[in-house]
Amino acid sequence: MAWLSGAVGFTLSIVAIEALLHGIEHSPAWRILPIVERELGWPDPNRGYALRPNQEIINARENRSRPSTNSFGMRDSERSLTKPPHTFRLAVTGDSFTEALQVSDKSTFTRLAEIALNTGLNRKRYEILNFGFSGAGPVQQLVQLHHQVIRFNPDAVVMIINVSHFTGDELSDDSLNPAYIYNSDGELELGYSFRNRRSQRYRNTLVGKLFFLLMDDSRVARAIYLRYVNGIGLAAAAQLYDRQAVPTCSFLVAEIDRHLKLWSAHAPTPAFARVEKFIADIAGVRLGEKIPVDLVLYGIGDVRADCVDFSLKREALVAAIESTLSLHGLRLWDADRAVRSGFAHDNEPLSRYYGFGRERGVGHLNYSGHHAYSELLQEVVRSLSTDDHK
Amino acid sequence: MYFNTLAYFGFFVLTLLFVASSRKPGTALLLASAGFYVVAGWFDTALICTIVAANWILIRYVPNGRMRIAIAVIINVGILVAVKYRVFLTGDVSADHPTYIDNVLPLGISFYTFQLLAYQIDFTRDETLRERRLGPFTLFIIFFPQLIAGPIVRARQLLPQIRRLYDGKRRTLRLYSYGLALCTLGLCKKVILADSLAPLVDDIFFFGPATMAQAWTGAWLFAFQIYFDFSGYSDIAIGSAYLLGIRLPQNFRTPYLSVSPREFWQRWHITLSTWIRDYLYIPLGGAKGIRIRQVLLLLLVMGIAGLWHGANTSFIIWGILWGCYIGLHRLVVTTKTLFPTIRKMRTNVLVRVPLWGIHLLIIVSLWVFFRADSSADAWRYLGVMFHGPVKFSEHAIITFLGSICLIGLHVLEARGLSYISRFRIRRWNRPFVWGFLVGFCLWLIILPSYTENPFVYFRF
Repeated sequence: MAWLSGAVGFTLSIVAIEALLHGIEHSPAWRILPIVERELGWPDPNRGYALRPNQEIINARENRSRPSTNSFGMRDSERSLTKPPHTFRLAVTGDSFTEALQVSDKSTFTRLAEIALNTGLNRKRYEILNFGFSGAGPVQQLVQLHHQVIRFNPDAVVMIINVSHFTGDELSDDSLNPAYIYNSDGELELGYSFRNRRSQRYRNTLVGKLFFLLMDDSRVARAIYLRYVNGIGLAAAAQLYDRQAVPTCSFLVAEIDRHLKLWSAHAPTPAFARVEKFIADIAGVRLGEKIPVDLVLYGIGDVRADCVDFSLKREALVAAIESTLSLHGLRLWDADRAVRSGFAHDNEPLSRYYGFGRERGVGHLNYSGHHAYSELLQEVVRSLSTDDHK
Repeated sequence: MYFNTLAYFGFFVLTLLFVASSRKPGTALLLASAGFYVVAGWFDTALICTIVAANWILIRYVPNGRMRIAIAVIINVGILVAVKYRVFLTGDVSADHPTYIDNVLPLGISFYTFQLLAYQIDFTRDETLRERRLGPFTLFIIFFPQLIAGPIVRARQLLPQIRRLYDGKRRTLRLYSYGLALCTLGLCKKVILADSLAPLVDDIFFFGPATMAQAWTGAWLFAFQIYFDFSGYSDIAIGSAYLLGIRLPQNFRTPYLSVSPREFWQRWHITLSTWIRDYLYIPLGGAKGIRIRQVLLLLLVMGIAGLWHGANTSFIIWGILWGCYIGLHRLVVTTKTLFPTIRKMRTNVLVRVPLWGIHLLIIVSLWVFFRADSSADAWRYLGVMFHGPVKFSEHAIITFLGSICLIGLHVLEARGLSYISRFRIRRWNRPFVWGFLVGFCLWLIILPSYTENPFVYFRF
């Protein structure tokens, strides 16, 4: 009897800790006290991963915020498929920079740009749709264009891509998300081997549905799962990144040499073939759907006065990318340079636009970063909405 | 082995079973305590063995008298100075070839040194039991729940209980609920509150505050972080000891509800402040003599108390400023013409609340020296607290309001741990409550990050 009584008490402790964790989330203390981070997305058979519709979570990594998704699974406010009259609609695709889980819904650069563009007496209205989701590489964004973005009938598309995605294995490895693989005829096509993953196979089964139900509604189950998967059950202190030293000149040169080799020397050949295929596919969307597509690349690196060799190679890289894109009628926007010339003072490091608290300098865009990117996006929108470009 | 880890939970359960099933619970507890300390490292273990052996030889073979106290002070304080203050005093950083003790402070050395000194002095004064057996004497020093960061226990409180264990008389299970409740409270303070405040405080102190509001918020949050952290540790230590059948003295009594510096030190780290009072302040003259002498003695004693916390000038300044505050307060209270008026006024709520507010702000300001990396940083921080730009953002206001709520938790704790509440908890001593509290503790240990967040006072 004593054991039974003890077991009942133990079971009740689970209920109590559940109640405590739910209570924290629904009180103002969510900004400080430990919470269990829920997942905003789930496995997607086309893109590998996609945001779920109508979700709101508490993000604890880098900065506490309450990001939400709309009924279309976009990190955006509610939108309609039909474009309102007299409205220029821009679709923005991108990775976690664009998804911006670290800031509130009203502070993402897409929202800030939309508000800024609609301020004033101009009859023309602007809509900027945010399609960003974590880990979205170039190919995932391309697939997203076909499956999700086109349905919204946008006037233009901006793809925000980290330049390192072209030199990494994002274009060639289809084990986590779609990528270009060679078929038996030696031609590149989209590969979807990630669909064999357990998470993809079980997602729509009863087991998968029960798993998501448990992960969504039980904080204790979710915390145990998180602790098992990545070691963090309760997120009290959000410290994902170690403080990094300012990269040396030689490090920057070595980094940019890799990019230059790809974009200028077109080597290694299979890697550049994938890049060319990607650009051709984007151009196909541009021509087929008659939608202008611009690419915003970030991660090329800051213009450093103390590192002449890097600065020269940087210019060469940007020129090489621009010439490759222009062959297909696509335009390039250099995000790092735009932030440098538009905002930062001469000796101010760009790192101030990234990271929060002690981790300032590393990680995702902070509030200042979103303001800077918002200015860049406004410039892109103004350029795209002029008749000349069309 | 930190108290908020699964390793400690497992170790403690095994120890409990081992002690409960052993015919010699005292020896079983001694073995468990030794095992607990060995995890800290071989150097730490060898050092504590040497210190315990030296003190036991002193007790056994050196005749009672001042000579023994002098030798005990030289041995214990000498070793403490050698390992903790050597670099601070000599300035020898040994950056090129740092030794082990340049980087690591032996676990709990500040605490067990003071405990040993107290025992030697009490023993000479005939104020405690004479323990001639090595086993009970060693267990008195290395009893694992209070070994690392206190409470600093007197021999007359702990030795009789240890002797009872050695005589095979274990306490019954009647205090299990109370012990488990204290452990749960301590874990809540540490895991839910202190670890949540830590990153906010670290952010503000890392870059330095930008505005006056941010500076006050940072200092205020640190005041509560260190309270939740240290009192949480103490609660777990006392709770663990209760479960093993040993009562340890209380170390905290909601100190931020005090209204005077004297009362604060009667509520904050009680076992350290009473140690300093009994073995330093009173033997050196206490409140005797002319006023200037009393004030100088206060500054000296509080400076030593500050230095005890760490080999850094900011700790010494922290102690000296506390000495100034206590001295000033005593001067106002004991001035004959003012005293009757002040005594009457202090009972009035309308006077008591503002007095409490001012006292709290002084405590918070003084904590800056405790948290800042150096005294220069602390002065800079205080400069922003009192002369910084006044600028309020939405985020700052929310954080500030949240900070105010912390004092509400403090009041709740004072009510929850009142005499009546404790009595009630002791009456709920049944398996259902044990199961609930064990489960709650387990979840608080399992769910957080694998990354260990050490208790702040472990570094002292």
